[in-house]
Amino acid sequence: MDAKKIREDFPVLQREISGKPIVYFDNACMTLKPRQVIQAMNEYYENYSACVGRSIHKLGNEATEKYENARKTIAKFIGAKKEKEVIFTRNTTEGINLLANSLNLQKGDIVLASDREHNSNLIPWQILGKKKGIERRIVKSKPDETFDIEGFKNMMSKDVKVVSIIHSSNLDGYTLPIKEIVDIAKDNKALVILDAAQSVPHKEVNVRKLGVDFLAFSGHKMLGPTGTGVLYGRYDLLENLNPFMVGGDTVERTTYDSFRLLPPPEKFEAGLQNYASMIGLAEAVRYLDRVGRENIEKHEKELSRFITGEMQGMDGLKIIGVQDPELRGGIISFEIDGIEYHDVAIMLDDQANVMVRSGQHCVHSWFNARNIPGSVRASLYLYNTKEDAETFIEALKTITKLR
Amino acid sequence: MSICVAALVVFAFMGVFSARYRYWAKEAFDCVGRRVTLRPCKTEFNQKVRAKITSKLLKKSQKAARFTHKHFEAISWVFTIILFVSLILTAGGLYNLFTYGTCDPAQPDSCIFTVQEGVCAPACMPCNCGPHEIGCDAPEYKACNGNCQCVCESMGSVTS
Ligand SMILES: Cc1ncc(COP(=O)(O)O)c(C=O)c1O
Repeated sequence: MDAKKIREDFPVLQREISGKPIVYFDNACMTLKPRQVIQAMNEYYENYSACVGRSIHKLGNEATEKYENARKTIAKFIGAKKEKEVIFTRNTTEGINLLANSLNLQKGDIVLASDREHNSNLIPWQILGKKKGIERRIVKSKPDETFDIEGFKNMMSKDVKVVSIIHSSNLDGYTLPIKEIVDIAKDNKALVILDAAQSVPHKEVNVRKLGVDFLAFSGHKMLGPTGTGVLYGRYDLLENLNPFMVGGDTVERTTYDSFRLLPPPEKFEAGLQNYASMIGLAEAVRYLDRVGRENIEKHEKELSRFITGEMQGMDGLKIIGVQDPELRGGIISFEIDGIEYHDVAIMLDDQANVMVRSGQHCVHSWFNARNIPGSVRASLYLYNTKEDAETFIEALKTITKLR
Repeated sequence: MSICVAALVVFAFMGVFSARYRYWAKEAFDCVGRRVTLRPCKTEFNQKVRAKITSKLLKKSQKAARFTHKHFEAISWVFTIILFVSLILTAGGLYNLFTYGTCDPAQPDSCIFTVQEGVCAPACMPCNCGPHEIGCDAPEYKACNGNCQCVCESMGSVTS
């Protein structure tokens, strides 16, 4: 995999700011878009920007074909059995909210999660707890911040109806042992929802091999257009779920007093959709397939290993969360003693155009439980190079001199 | 807090000339608005200014950067006080100028804006503005496309 060659496809990376190239290390939040994705979207707007699935004219047919092809491409990408298991959403958050509102959970049902869930996989269940009286249980991490599989096993019971859990954490990049988690959940007949926002873009994820029932991810974190997401669901489960938003395109027929819903995925996709962006997302998927996700994972790990090694020699710098770069993938979260995380982020940007994220990364619960005010997060992707990593380290070395 | 107020004044002024500073002025305004209503500064404006200044200094002198970073709040208070004292003095000077014709009524000579009484036009000295020079009605009077002013003599002193 040639990251330097890959960079040529990304218009943003051709920019210089104040005469310096951009070092984009905020990929856990939003990735940059290659030319191919932008072109695919433009093509929709320029050549066939019509309604999908309703209009039977030529442009409508063309748009429908491209849109449904996009669904097929994405289904294949995650190893779904059929494309009808792929629901288009705006993002991971919408996918999880859809499930929280559609699964018919009752008072006393238990939803289990890890202690490092993104707010998207925390608040929907908290609200459901208030509205319907479902119970929530949190599996605490081990002292080294890895997942406590024994603790999880002990917390499982027949009352646990849903395990809604993160795959790779956006706070430190740690990937949970999801196969074991699924096996234990299945033994107890619990449904498994996987928040795969940080895993699908970076590594091979196959829903059937993992055995998950539902899986949500965002397109904008994997070279796709903004405001795109996917919710995968096992077809037999989707068939029995009630949609949480309804309207145009979700029904077969209505009378003044009744309606008949369409089968999945249509019944979950209410109203006109973001066609151009989904077609763009399929192009992003093809791009990632061409590069190969195993190559991306390997590349990120290499960079992460290099950065971690360099950081270990820096006075006052502490990596937070799981320490071993082999378990962490392409995310490095850290704090510098005596310098606030936002200051570090602003200075990295100012000194060397190194763009990172600072704060609590929407995992406030984890930070607050540990009394950590926040961290600086560098998150890598396929277009980052060793030179990027060196620039980052050099800038960090300068900043640590402030201590 | 102090830096928000000082920055608001400074950036609002600089914003008249450049859109870049208008962005900062807007952030400062937002920050001040939040502070006076006892809400935290959403934009972390103080922090942005502190980090930007420290970062610039870091390229020149580590010592100065470290000092600024450590004592930023105190330094920004000093600048805020200086700014407000200058603003008050300027306002007083302007009031005097419009009311008494001099910014310092006690010592009018020390104020360069002190208005001198006198008749300009007939006593004008010729301007030397090269090819753009044009003639006026009075033979001694010359103006140069508005680019240079007539110099006139009155009451023994030269004013413009
Ligand atoms: C692990 C994880 N889950 C969920 C989300 C929410 O994603 P989105 O904002 O695209 O819905 C994020 C976003 O950063 C994330 O990292």
